[in-house]
Amino acid sequence: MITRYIQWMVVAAGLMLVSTSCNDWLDVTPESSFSREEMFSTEDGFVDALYANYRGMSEVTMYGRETLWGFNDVRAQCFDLQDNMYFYPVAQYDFESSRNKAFVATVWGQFYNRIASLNSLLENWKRRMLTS
Amino acid sequence: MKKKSNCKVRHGGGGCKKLWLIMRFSVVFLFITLLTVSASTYSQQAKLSVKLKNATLKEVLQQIQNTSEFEFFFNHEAVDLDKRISLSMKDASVEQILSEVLKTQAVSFKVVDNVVFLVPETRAVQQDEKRTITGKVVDLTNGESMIGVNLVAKRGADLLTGTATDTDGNFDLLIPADAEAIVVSMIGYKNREIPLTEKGEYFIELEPEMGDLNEVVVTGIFNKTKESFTGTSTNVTHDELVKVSPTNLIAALEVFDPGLQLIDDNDFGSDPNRMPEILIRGKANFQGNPNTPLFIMDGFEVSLESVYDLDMNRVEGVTILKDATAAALYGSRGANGVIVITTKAPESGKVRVHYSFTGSLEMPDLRDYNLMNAEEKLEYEKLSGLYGSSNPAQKYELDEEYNRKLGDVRRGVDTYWIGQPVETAFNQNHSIYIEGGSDVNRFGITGRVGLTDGVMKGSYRNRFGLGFKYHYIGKNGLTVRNHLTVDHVKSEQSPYGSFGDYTIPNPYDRMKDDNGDYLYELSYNMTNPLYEASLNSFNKNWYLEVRDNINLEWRFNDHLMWRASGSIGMQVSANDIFRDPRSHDFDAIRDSNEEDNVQKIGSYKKIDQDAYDWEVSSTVNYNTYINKHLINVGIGFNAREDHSNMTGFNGTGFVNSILNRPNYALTYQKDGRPMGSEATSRLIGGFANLTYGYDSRYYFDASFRIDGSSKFGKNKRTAPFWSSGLAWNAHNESFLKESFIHHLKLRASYGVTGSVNFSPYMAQTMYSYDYGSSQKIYDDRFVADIMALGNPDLVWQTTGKSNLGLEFGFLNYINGEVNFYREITDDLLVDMNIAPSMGFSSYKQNAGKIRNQGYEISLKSYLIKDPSNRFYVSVNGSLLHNENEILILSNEYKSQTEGTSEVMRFNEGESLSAVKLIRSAGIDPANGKEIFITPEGERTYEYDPLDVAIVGDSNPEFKGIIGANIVYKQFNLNVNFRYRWGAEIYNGTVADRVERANPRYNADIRALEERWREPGDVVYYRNISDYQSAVHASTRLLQTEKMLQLANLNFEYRAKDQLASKLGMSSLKGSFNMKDVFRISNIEQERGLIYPFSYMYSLSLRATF
Repeated sequence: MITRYIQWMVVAAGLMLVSTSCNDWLDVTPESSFSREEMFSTEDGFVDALYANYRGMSEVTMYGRETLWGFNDVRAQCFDLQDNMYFYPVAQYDFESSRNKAFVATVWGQFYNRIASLNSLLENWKRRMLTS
Repeated sequence: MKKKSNCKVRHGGGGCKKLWLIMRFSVVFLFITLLTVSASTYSQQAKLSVKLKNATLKEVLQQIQNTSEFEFFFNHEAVDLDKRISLSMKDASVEQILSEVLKTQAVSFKVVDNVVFLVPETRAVQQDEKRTITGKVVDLTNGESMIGVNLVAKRGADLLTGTATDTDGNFDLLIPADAEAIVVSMIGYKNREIPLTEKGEYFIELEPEMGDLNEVVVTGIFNKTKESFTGTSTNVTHDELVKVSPTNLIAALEVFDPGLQLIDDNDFGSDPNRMPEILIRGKANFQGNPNTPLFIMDGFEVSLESVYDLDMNRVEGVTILKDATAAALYGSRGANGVIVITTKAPESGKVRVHYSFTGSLEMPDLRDYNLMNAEEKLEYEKLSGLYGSSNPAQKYELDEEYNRKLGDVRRGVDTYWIGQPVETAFNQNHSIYIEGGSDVNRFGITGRVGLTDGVMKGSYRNRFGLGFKYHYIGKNGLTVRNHLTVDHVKSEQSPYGSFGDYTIPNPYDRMKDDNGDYLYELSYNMTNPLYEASLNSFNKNWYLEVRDNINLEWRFNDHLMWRASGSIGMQVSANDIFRDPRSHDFDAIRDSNEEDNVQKIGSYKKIDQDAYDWEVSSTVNYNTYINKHLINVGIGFNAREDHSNMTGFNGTGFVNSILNRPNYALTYQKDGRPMGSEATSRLIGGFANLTYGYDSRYYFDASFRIDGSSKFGKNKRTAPFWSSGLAWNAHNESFLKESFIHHLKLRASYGVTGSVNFSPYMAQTMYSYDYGSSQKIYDDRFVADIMALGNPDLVWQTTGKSNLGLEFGFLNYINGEVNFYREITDDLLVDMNIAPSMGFSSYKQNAGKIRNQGYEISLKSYLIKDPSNRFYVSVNGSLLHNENEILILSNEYKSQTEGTSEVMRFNEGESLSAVKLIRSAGIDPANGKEIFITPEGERTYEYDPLDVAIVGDSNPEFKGIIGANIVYKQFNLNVNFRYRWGAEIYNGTVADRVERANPRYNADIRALEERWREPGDVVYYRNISDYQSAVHASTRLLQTEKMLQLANLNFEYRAKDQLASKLGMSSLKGSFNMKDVFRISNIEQERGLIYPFSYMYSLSLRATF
């Protein structure tokens, strides 16, 4: 009796193993995050990824402040700044100061980050155009 | 192998209905039976008629059985049943018939009631001349009494009668007067033959068989005999563990294995809600990833938290696997070592109840804190210049303040702040285990309540558990085991917050105002930590875990076995954090006087998690032993999935602290959103193992595993792991057989294992809707952005482990083991900075190689071994030396760190634990400033970070345990000290708490007493008035550690059996345990700044009913 059960279990386990490919089973993607393939498989996904760039560009580190009136206008001496103020080293053209360096790194980093995101978008969009 | 139970058989009237009671048991069995039957003359006068021609004896007996009431009882090996005889008798008594048929055989008979016993003649019992001998059998090595030992009396080569020892190791045996000796035997022990003397009492010691035949290395997959094992393992039994720590399994393990280190958490001290950090041998990670070993319980992976919350009384034993030999079977999970835990299996027999109680007093260890008292503190403030000013008006105010404080001090205000948040905690653990059942169906039920209060007031961790075990052990070779456990853990962080907050307030400040309310603010605008503690804020956690393991084992024959097992576990947990609206946390909001303040003050954070995991595995094992050749082959596979899911939210706006449920929040946190996350990982692996042994002398072992995991990049989905080893049991060689060396084994192994210690999705470039800026919506659309650059080429971090080991034992007094090891970890994961033009600042890469090498030594020696008085004294010691070196760093890593500070980067050839400091010549007696030494040997006051050099290593030269064990009669004393020697440690707390101590806050007394005050002071610490400038890390504060700590002292009393049975118990043990009571170290540093360390006294009782 028990032997019979075990035989069936072995058969069932064997079938399960054969019917599911290992690689597919190991391909796990998180529920709140998506791989590139999944992201661009729908129009909504494409738009959401595109809008991330609008959102990104509107942030204070980009056109939300720094490249519009923040960092740039400070350097153009549009503000009267005291020496304890955050932007002061920037207004002084103290390019070696860590704060100035941080501004530059953040602003450029953000631009490059957008470019990377857009590149990924275009690359996948092109691939989809070709396949469909 | 199960011990043979006491072999007594009773014959009730008519208990045996069949004729052929052919006993396949030993001769001993028969004799006991004979002796227990009293003689009588039941139906012996019955007359029988028999007529048979050329019949076998079997047929004769059959006929007698059929025509009379007689039944026969005999050992079928002693009587030749196939012997043919012809017989014709009429109205003869059974005695007459039997004398006739048995006359050609050396068999006599005896009739008792209606049972006829056939007895080989030479062994016939002379009923009239007998005597009783009594005695006790103990294990020679530890004096423990032994249950189920076989004793057989013999005369010449004939075995006469026998018995087995009872649960207390005692026996009594009725022997014929002419018996000459008794043979004492037990599986796993050497047989002994004791000549019988006139005296009736015997004390017998048995010596374990060489080569630890009975000892098994539990690898969790394929178990090995210790003799055939080519790797390094440490086996610890339950009894040994509870002697060290009656409640904390992980703390106990450190004493038994020099390679296992418990990392002292200098911040979190003895916080019961803090998971311990464990390291086996050496550290091999750049970026803080802990090298936590893999935990396997009853064949399945479990979390560190489950082990931490495990009831010690459920544990049967623990095996620590350090090198590649067994760890390779765990492949990608084995690199950090494997700790295999086996829980108790129910034993058959009538229902037994085991109860165990441990009550402990846990006391805060504040001996590391030498803070100033009120008077000293005020003096320190004055000396550091807090009351000095050139402005007369200001000076007047400052003088007034000083005098007011002085007045308070004179009135006797001297608040002992650090004593406020701590208390002596009483912890208790009750655990009950009920077991029993038949040989086939056995059950075990466990129950447990463990209440642990930490030494910080209000912190606790309470554990509740229930378990049910069912074992079916079929006679046909099938075994089914099912374990179901339900565990519930409730914990809370102390409302008193961080202990460090109590080291700062000034002792001249009062705690309460004149109305008896806690002051809202202390001197220098410091918040009163006791005010915070008096509020209703809380931080609570709980979890509930249900787990079921099922295991099928099918033994087809003596050689072939198939095993299949499955496990499923589910966990639900929650975290609730409430901040009282009166808390200082909301000061800034209150001060802003905005209109909607009421909606922002007070907060409730709730996080719910649910998780499940499952695992299936199947193995087939074949072993055979032909002509001294032992072959053992095993293959198998396993697959598992881990899944967890979290959701949470923040509510704000609480009107008062009594309405502290989430539903009383006025709103959600402003600009906040509900939280959520999810993670899944999957693993599948196939493995094989081969062991070949020749003549118990030479062993060869090889393992292979291939693993696939969802955590890896698509390009590298699977990875192979392997190991192989050799062992030589020299003590089984003929030239050592009779020498003073009773154990000598040499073994070597090498293998490759892996570790997965990054999050599941680093290998892929992922888009997430929940990442980056707090603003996640643009133009009414939820946006999805790239989280990070994936690295599809990410590979497993692999560790190649080699091990060379020597085990030795002399004269049964000294036992020891030495292991040399080398572990090279390759493809270490590092966050690589990349050019900003890539769009991201860093990504994960395999970039480096680290080597750990060293040796472990452990020794145990008996000084006194006196089994007859049960008096044993033994000492033990262990030592670990580990060296760490970075072998290779990728070129990318080198180029990216070029030019950065030496302190921040790793270099090839350095140790991971290298201490990088600037050289110091100490404090200048002229002005109290520190003098630095440049690499050129010049002296300067200027600190140049580029002068930093390697000046030491924070890894100790040696660490280990020294201990002793004394057994005398019913008493057992076990003591172990932990030592650490030669670690070069930069005493950072001195920099913070002595030199940079802000004089407005309280500080270590050294800040006042040992600092430079005036020219000519030759002191260790710099100018007392200088507290603002940075303290540069220099060799001045570098100390070489020498530490000795009492790990445990355990005193145990085992009640005599008579006493226990008087109390209605079958056994009773009581013990007293001290933990961490004593510690000396040459480094004075404040330990446990967030949660203090503690020491503990416990009392345990273990009773079996």
